[in-house]
Amino acid sequence: MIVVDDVYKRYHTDHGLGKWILEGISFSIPPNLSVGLVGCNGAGKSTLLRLIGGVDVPSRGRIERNCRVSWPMGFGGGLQGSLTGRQNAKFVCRIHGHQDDIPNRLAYIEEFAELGDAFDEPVKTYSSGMKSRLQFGLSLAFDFDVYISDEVTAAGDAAFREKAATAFKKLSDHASIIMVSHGEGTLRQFCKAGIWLNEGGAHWFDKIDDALREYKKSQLEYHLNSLLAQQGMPANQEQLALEIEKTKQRQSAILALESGMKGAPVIVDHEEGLRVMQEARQLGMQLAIGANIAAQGYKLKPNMTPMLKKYFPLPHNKHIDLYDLNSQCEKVESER
Amino acid sequence: MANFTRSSVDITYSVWKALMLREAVSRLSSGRAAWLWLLLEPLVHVIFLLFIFSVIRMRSVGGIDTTAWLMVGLLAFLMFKRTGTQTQNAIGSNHGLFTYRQVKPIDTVLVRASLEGFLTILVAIILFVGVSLFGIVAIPQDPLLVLEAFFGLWLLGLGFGLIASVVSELIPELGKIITFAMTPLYFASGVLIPVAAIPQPYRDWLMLNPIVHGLDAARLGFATYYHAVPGLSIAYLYGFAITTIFLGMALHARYATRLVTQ
Repeated sequence: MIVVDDVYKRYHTDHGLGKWILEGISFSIPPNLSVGLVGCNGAGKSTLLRLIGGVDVPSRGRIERNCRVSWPMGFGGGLQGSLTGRQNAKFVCRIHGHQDDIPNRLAYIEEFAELGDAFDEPVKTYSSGMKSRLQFGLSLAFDFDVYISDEVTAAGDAAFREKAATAFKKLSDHASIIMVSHGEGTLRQFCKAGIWLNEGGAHWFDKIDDALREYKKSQLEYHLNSLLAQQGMPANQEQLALEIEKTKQRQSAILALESGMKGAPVIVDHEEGLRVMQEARQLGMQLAIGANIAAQGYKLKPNMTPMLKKYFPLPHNKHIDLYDLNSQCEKVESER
Repeated sequence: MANFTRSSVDITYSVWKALMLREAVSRLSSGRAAWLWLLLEPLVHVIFLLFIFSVIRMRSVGGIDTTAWLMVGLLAFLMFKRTGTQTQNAIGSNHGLFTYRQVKPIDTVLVRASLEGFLTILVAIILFVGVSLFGIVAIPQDPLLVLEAFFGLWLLGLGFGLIASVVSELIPELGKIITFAMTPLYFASGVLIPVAAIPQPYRDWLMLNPIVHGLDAARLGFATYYHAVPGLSIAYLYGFAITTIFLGMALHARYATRLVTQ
């Protein structure tokens, strides 16, 4: 059980106190529940992880950890570049008080991280993928109740992610993970619940999908606002008219997406459909034609309304449904 | 849960052990023959100074052999300097480790200081044994006094390092000035010049420097007939050291979270 109670956080910068990153957030994470943190860059995801991990302290408020929490795994933190992977691993074993069974744990880490000979090379020669594999292996070598991962699981390749997820499922009867990732697939793979961080506040969702959807909606709004704010002063009238036209088109594309997310798909023509699909791509969505989903190795989740209906004048004057592969479909398990 | 909670002492002890091994590995294996430089640096230094002293035909200083006088003084000074400068950078070079909440900034400083003190003692023993093979008397007549002086200088280095590590983390510019200050300190500590030979009132000014007391006490321990500087007080050295350690620890306690989060 982790309780975050009315936590405020801001940092000291070179020019005095920075602005509030977290403003009075409160929630509690029950045992054995994996949680994904979503939010745009700078929303305070990593800060919150560091606070939960006990590496940093809140400016105000308090955080209770009534369980064993791992250190926050993330971008090379906790590894010393001049030492080898093995030496780093030994160090971590020692500070966690496992002086006696270092060989066993080292063997596990070596096997899990699959670094080969690189395990005995200095960590500064590692790629970021190799570093995350080492970090993930390191933390799995210890029994924690809660593992904290800052983008680590997302950095490896697909095969490693699969392996990490499987290793993690084995633990899932007594352990959970709190993670930050920009990969939606990773979040869905690991987490049940979600927390959406926005403008200093934290919003709890029992389902990670809901959190992701809220996050995307806010991104849409942000997109729209920045589009409107972007309009500088073009050189001549013609250009200005062109810019306005373009902006209007993007705006309507974004609005179409938004109403699709709310469950009221808009019917658009082919050209408009292409624009909407482009906007969707920028937001990390992947629109696919309903009939093609199976061919791409996915299947539609039950009770999904299409994101968009695209109108084809020929030959039968009918429209086709488009769905988001990432959020509305699930991968079909191939039999191997 | 409950069956796996370690006491704070346990945690700190295992952190120190882990840090000590890690620091030792990186200190002794970074670069080519890092351990050799540990020995060579004071050796070359002494040989160079000895050359100059023999050019100006100084056979003895304050009643003892120049080589012994130089070596004891230099090694005693190095005890302070190496401990101080190594610990000054302890926090900066271990920043990555504060990801593990068991590791606190002060741990890195204490461990580095201990390692450096241990290494310097080792180097000193090797050099003294080496020199005595050349027939120079290098067995201290009052070993306890020598140890007392070296330990006091180590404490002073630790206190200096505790303060300097916090200062150079929070105000990097000031950290650079502290580094500069080491060279004048070298000249004002009586490594090269016998402080006893300096006229008043300047000698009293130099005697404010606790390192002078440590150096001359170490020499006095080596040869009891050495004309040590009047007003020599090992208590002054210890008082100074303990005050700086207290100040340094207070700084560490005050800025514990700032040091980790920056």
